[in-house]
Amino acid sequence: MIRLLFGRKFIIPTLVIASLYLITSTYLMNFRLLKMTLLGSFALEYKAKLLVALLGGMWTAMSGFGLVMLIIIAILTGANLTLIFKRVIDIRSFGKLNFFASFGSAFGFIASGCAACGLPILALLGLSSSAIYLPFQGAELSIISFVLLAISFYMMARSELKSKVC
Amino acid sequence: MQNNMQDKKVVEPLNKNLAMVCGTIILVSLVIAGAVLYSNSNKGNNVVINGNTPNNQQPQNQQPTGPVSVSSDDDPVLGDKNAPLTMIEFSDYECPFCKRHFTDVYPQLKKDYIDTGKLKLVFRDFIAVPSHNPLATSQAIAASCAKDQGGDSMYFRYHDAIFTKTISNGNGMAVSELPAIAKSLGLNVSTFQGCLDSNKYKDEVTKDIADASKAGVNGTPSFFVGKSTSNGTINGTIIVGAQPFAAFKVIIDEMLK
Repeated sequence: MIRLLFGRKFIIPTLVIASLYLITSTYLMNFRLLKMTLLGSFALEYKAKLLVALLGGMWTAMSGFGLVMLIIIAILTGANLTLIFKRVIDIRSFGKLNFFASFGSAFGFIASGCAACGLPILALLGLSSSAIYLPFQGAELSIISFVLLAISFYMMARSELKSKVC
Repeated sequence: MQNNMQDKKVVEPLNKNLAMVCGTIILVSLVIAGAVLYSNSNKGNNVVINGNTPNNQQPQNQQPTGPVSVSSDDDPVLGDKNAPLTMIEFSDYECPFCKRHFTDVYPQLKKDYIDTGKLKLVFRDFIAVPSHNPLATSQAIAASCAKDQGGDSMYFRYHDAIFTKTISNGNGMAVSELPAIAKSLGLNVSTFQGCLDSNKYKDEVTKDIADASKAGVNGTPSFFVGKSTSNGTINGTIIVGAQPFAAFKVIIDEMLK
């Protein structure tokens, strides 16, 4: 189990996916601005500066709880996807994907970020206002996402270990 | 016999997986259903949400992808009225991220751009979170009542006092502290109280919320930055959230070129 979880082949892809997840979640908050800027006729230098500057929003535009949950969900998403990809590579026909991983990651995207500012993926769909009506204004979606991803990771890791035993 | 036992071992985890998947789907459905029911139960209240009151339906939020036409309306302006750039801020006095913007970014924006005549700030209200009311609406009305007696500059002094005092999230301060702030700023308290009690500027707040919704604002703080025009309507680039000063600097500097 330790060799599985702390091997390079697990940690590196997990961290890469987690980083992409974090960056995407941060940028989704200002999707309209970014789309307009990146597709517009602005200088490359300006586009790069804006991309870098908006990354700072990860610290300023989220609550402490929101940021911690986002990081945990990002890592769990990375871990789940890494195990899934490994499984797909190991077993040619993989009949059944893990529902928890896809639900959990989707919820993580929905719930990440600043609940008051507009949840990223829901803001993209024009639905972020709906999360405000939840008792904790969307924060509970983060918890659900974490639980789903944790269960998924546990099941995937256990299954990965069992597949090595005759 | 051995095959039967192996089959049983395969079937048991499959059944467990199925039970967990079904449980997950049920849990997710309950959360979504709960949110829908909770939002429907708010329609009977007098809370203004995105400009919608029970008898006054407003258009749904649009999601434009390009610059958005946003009006300054008659809302308070900070800075040189002839500044080349305008920033329209939609904000909520009880929003913790609006307070964070006020604490961390606003001073730098004011020093580098507003006080130097490059940018003027228009402050408009958008109360996105129902639990911030009724305090957030009272604060918005109170600030406008302050503007009655001392103009835009008094508005922003009152605005600064609210953000300094409140601890946000809907119960950041007592409503009774609003007249106390007015007194500390040298305003006529009885005139101020009369304005506050009459809800004189409630319609103004409602209009701000409706305009924000039409512009595609989903939460606070949200900012529109664009070149100033004679009629106060700008084609603004939207910036969402309590972004760091660096983000505003990049955008404003580019527009000033």
